[in-house]
Amino acid sequence: MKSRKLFDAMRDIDDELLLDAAPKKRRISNQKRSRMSVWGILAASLVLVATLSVWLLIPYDVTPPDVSQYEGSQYYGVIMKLNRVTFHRPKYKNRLQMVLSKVEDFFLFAKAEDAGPGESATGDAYRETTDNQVAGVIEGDILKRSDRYMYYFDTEGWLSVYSIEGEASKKVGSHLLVRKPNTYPEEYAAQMYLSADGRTVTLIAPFWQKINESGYSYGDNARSCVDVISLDVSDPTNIREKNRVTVSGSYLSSRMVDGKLLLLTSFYVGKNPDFSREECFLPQIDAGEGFHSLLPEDIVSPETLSSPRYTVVCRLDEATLAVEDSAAFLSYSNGEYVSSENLYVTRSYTETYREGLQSLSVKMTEVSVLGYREETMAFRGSVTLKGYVKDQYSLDEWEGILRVVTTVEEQTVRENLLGNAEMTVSNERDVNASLWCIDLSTMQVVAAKERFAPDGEMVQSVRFDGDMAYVCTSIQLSDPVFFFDLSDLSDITVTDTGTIDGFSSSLIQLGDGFLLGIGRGSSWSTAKLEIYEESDAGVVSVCKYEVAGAYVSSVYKSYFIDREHWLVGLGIRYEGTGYQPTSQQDYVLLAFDGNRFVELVKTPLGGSLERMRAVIVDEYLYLFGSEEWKVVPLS
Amino acid sequence: MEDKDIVDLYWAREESAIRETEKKYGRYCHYVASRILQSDEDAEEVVNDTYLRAWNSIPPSRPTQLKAYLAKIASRLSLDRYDARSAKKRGGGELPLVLEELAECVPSGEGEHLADEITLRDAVNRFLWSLPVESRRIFVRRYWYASSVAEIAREYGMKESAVGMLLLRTRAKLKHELNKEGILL
Repeated sequence: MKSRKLFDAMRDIDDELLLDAAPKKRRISNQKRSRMSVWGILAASLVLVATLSVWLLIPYDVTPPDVSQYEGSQYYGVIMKLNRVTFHRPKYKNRLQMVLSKVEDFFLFAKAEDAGPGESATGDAYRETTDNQVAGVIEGDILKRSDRYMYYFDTEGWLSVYSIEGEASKKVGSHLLVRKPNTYPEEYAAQMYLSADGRTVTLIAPFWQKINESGYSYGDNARSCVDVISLDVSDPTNIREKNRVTVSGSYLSSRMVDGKLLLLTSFYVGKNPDFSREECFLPQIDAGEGFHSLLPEDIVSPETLSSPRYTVVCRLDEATLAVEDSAAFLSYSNGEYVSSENLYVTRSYTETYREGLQSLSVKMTEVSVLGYREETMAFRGSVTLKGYVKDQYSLDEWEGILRVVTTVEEQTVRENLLGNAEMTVSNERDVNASLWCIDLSTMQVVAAKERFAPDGEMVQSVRFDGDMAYVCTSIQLSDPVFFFDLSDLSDITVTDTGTIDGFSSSLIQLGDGFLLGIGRGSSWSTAKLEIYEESDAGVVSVCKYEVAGAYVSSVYKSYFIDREHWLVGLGIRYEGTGYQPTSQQDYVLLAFDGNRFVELVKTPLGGSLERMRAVIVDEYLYLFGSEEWKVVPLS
Repeated sequence: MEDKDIVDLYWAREESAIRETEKKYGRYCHYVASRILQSDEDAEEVVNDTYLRAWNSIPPSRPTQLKAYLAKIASRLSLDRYDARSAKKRGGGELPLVLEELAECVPSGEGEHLADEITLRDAVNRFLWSLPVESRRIFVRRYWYASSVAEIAREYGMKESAVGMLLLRTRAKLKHELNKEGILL
């Protein structure tokens, strides 16, 4: 339920907010005192209102502020665009209206009292543990490994190093991330990379920085930043920080390609920014000599901004953290996909068409392409599509063609004019799914399969595999999985599985024509893994593993996938089976033998499902969670 | 005893760490749990499990804000237990009301695409920091601690209707901010 999602987001608010609001003992007698002061203040305010009535009736300015004073600035173009989209009309016509509205709150608001040791290493080879979307484009994660060690980054800011010795494995070292004063870490979002020689860990560590105590706007009060920190881990017992770069904004994503780190951040401009202070409206980078703003030529923006948000791309050298290049897309959202050559960012917006009393709103997405391999990152162009993308797996580049799957959504609203009021008499929402193929040399759509799903269904998961694509859609708890043959764009064929119970929030190719879906089963409280196989009859279900009264994480990186041996591992949390603190969730490792699932391991593992990670080395299963870690022998 | 000293006891694997935790934060943890579970017996069990979780997670953790660390554990455990209870029958207490109220903050669908947990968490944090101090405290008391409106009104010396109005306006602001940031749930 959506409100539950919001409620769960409240669970992770900053510690300081939590403590500040903690219950305190308050004296009841304050109530009487406050009531007397209320009457006194009310009388004084009435006198004040009468005396200052002329001043209070002066109307507020409802036009955006004049920014012509910045005409000489190299950012004047950006400032003008941001000025229009960040200006908020005053809520009240004049000061009197504002004061009268606040009087009730002011008088009724009384003041209240004041919530392993290890052998020294000379470097060892990096071993991949993350199931990267694109080969060679490494994605950050909380677990990485080399030949001899595993590295796990937890939510408290600790990087822990474990030896790989089977049941004799132990923690051999750890390092606590050093934070600057007045900063609040966001360790849940942190990720890391390990260099090819196993000597350097590059940490991506987002945080909050408090600027001052006063002020109501986000920009004045606090700001998000991302630290990129390189650590020397050649001796796990003596981990040292080497370099640090800070970028303003929230962390979106990152990739490591051939020793180059691509860092994607989102910089949000608050309302009514102070254009005399660059840090309020421009993304900035601190490479050790203070913050510097991005240059105007590095900023790409449409004519009209739909959102005062930048998506910022920085390319850093892994060894030195030198900032080689940077670019920013203004008015872009946080959808991104990185291929071996290009970086794609998406911007979702709504186009509205009005005709009389009827309006049609259509969700649209603009996809922009940035080439990151050259010395200077190059903007290659953009394309606009109907609908919006779900995640990075909804886009794929293949042999010069960009393939995109979107959920298309159109809303028709009809209004009835009733005197001076308008009333909505009908509100129809039309949802479906479409697949688009774009030629990257021309940025033109060259093929498409529009509205291929049953009416009302939205995209749940997508997986591209060469010239094939699998798309899972759903509206409730029944979904088809659609299989697309994209080998001939002039004749795209699509087949589906028919109606299958549940839906897959992740689709994974296992090879040899088998597809794994992970998600929900016949009821909302049933976790399901299902294998599909391509056949002449279409995509058919082969077998499934269901657990009633349970659910799994929807975070892709928490799954262990071994395509060579057809193994899959993930955490399962049980619900509705009674409160059992130690057996409330398990980590399960399954093997697919071509016909059915075989359960190889089922062991309790505490902590968040999303932060569980697993690695198999030499017939041992190494499990890491936010609360514990263990090694399980595999027979 | 200072938080740092209590955490040191955990690291030294001294069982007095639990006693000190109970002495300093036992009532607070009980408050957090009881507001969600509405049962002293269940709350007591959750508090004991909170100490166990803390013992098992420190080390390797070294929380700088022990009180908040314990509160979040207690809150998660209470919600898990509440969910388990609710599968059999609809749970009572403040939580259903809190969820109903938060439903008003769900953005109207004019945003960009479905927000992940981090984006939503960031947006909520930003919003909370932007509020006036008292509004923020009351909002967190209601939607994190699940305190009742009556209790909040008593504690802050306000009328219940005033607390209700403040929460209503703040929820509207949150919805507005989420819409503005293009966040979809």
